[in-house]
Amino acid sequence: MTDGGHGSREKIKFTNFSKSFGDLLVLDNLNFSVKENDFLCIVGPTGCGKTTLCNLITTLIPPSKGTVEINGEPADPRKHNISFVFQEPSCLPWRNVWDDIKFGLEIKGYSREQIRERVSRIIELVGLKDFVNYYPHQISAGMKQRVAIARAFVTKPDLLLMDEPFGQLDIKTRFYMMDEVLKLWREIKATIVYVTHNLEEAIYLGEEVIVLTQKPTHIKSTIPVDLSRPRDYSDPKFVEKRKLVTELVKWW
Amino acid sequence: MEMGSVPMKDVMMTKEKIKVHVDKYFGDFHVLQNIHFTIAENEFVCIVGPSGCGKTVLLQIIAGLIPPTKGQVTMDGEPIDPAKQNVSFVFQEPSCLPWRTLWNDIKFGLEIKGYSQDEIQERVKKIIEIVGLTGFERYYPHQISGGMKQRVAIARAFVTQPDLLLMDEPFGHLDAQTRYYMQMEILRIWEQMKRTVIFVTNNVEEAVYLGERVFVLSPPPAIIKAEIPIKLQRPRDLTDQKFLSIRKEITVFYEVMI
Amino acid sequence: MAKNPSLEVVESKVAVVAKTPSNALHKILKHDIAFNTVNVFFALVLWTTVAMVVNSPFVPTPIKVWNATLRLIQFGDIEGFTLSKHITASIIRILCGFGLSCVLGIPLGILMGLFPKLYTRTRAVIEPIRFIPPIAWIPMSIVILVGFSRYVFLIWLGAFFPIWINTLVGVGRVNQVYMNVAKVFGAGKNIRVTKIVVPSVLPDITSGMRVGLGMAWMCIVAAEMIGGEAVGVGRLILKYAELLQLAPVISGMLIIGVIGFLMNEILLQVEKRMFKWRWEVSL
Repeated sequence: MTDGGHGSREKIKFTNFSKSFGDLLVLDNLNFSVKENDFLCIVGPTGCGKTTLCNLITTLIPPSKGTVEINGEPADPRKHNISFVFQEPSCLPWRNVWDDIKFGLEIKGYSREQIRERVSRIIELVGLKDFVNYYPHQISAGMKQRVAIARAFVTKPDLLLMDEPFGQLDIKTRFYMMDEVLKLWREIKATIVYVTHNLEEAIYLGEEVIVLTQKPTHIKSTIPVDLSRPRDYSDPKFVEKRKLVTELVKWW
Repeated sequence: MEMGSVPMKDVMMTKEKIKVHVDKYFGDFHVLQNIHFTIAENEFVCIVGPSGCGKTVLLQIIAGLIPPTKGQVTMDGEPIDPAKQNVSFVFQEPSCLPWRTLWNDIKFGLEIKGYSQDEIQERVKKIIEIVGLTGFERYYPHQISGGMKQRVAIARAFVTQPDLLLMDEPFGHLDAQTRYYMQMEILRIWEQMKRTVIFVTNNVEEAVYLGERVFVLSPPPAIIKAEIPIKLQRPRDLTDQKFLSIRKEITVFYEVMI
Repeated sequence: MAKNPSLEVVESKVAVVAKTPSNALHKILKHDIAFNTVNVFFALVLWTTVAMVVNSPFVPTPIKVWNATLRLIQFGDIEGFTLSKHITASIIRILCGFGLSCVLGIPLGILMGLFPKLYTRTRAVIEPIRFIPPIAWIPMSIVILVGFSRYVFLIWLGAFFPIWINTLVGVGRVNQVYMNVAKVFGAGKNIRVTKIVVPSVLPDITSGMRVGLGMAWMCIVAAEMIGGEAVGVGRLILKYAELLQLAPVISGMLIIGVIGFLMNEILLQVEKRMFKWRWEVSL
């Protein structure tokens, strides 16, 4: 893990992390850590247990072996601030945009003033000011994901996990959303783990990229991405990195 | 050496196969404005454009599923009529009929068109081999992955040996890896079976990878903003400088229009 | 250069394992059977306790009900009709009425589903009739119809509407993509109905049938209580109620419940086999 000038504090640490379903060993002995305010991308071939990994990291399911620690303590959604942006739109259909974004803050018991302040700030940042009273069925898929991302960032999470959140959006929206996420990351400073199959996306976003193998999944390689931002997919250095990662993933 | 040197392909655009000249309104809403282009036999053409620009509408008009408001689409000089001519469509959503096994699904078009049992048997067997689904004939759609479902839809589309094959963002719902794989597969199948293909996508990289020509559609009222021939050799390299510059050129067109 | 297809098999197998409920369900079911047995036992104990505390001839214990059942099976009822005669009579009436409601309800449902205007323009007439409870029709059926036809009519009323409405709604929900698949291949309207609409709507039809059968069963009991014939499970209950012998009454009630449950189960099993292309099984 390179020290890319971010807080060199180890924020999240995975030790001997394994998961089996009955006889099927899905994740095998993962050992890695994420520095504070780092943007880590995880890529792997189809069937590498990406969804399982996401569920494990956010403590939705328990590991079979090993631990995940945040700030040195075992990860606990009640103690720590964990956010998850899913692949599918996850807006609560019965809440409008404003109520949806404040959902996490509500659960964690923030005061009304705090909620109002934070939510209005993030709504400005994601450009949804004119849509605060809209319901999910009235807005596009891209906007729904913006709401989900705002909801994830507004709690200033210790760990923000994203599982290919832009996979279902069209290309133009996708590039726009990636820049939005980067903007939020700079403004709000969260530690981000971004899981995707899209190598170009991983290199565009991440400070470093972890490449996973097929099942039983372990870490094949960790690649620092020290390109200056904003990044350009046609820039030869970008292309080189992409070729490198493509070689490593070795889909077929 | 301006033409791609894939040996078996004869890319001389002599025979005009499909001629499109249409306008489409939905009530007052002008979706397609004077869309006018021709396609040669066995050509692989891509249409790109932002979401909601009417790409699907255009494709459905070409397929004969909805009528144009003005103008017409002709194939070999005759107006397109699915009952009379051989057209196939691969939809964006999984379109496998859930109550049919893969085998029965793939033969669906041949069934409707009244082919004999022997002919069906032979053709379906062959196409299953070509798309790589041997061994899965008795499976149901809910038992297979998204990529496989699209392969079934593609097999079903090719097996009728259509005069025109339309594909509406068929890989849009697949993850990146499966998508790259399917792009290679569709080219392989196309090169083997030689059909006229119109492929709609919002992924510029995909369009440049697949198409011999790329049409860029603007938002409604949609016009053909640009027509870009892709004269790169196959198999194309996504990271090749020339590829990237064409991709950039088209993307710029995209960004310019809102 | 082609990807190893066995990879996809692994994917899909994992997907199947993850998706199919049967694996997890099997484990749960084993526990469920044990739990259910225990709970039945507790229910019986509770019942006995209540009966003994109340200590009234009108609240028989499970044992009394059991004995009454045995007597019914052995000797038949007060008038000499055997239990099987009662049950058979009821079931025949059900099958006739239910059969008729399927024969009418399914085609009408499909027709109105395909031509929604037929439905939307006749709603003012149909809907008020639909919501008249079959039981409310009993007085009229007593006056206008006699004997067997009376029962069949009431059962038909109970079963027809759920079957018809479920079919109608199901047709409306046929996935447009599948219709387009057929259209592009040049299929005419008839072929689209037989090859796309019908297979699509079959699960809705069968679930409508299950609801209809349940309704029919409820109607038959009410009808028999009031109707003229001397046989039928509903009639049986009434006979003993009039004599204030509650044990056979409860016995009859339980028999009715069990038969209804069995009919539902049979339909469910048929459905499961017919629709193995759907991995979600409705209850």
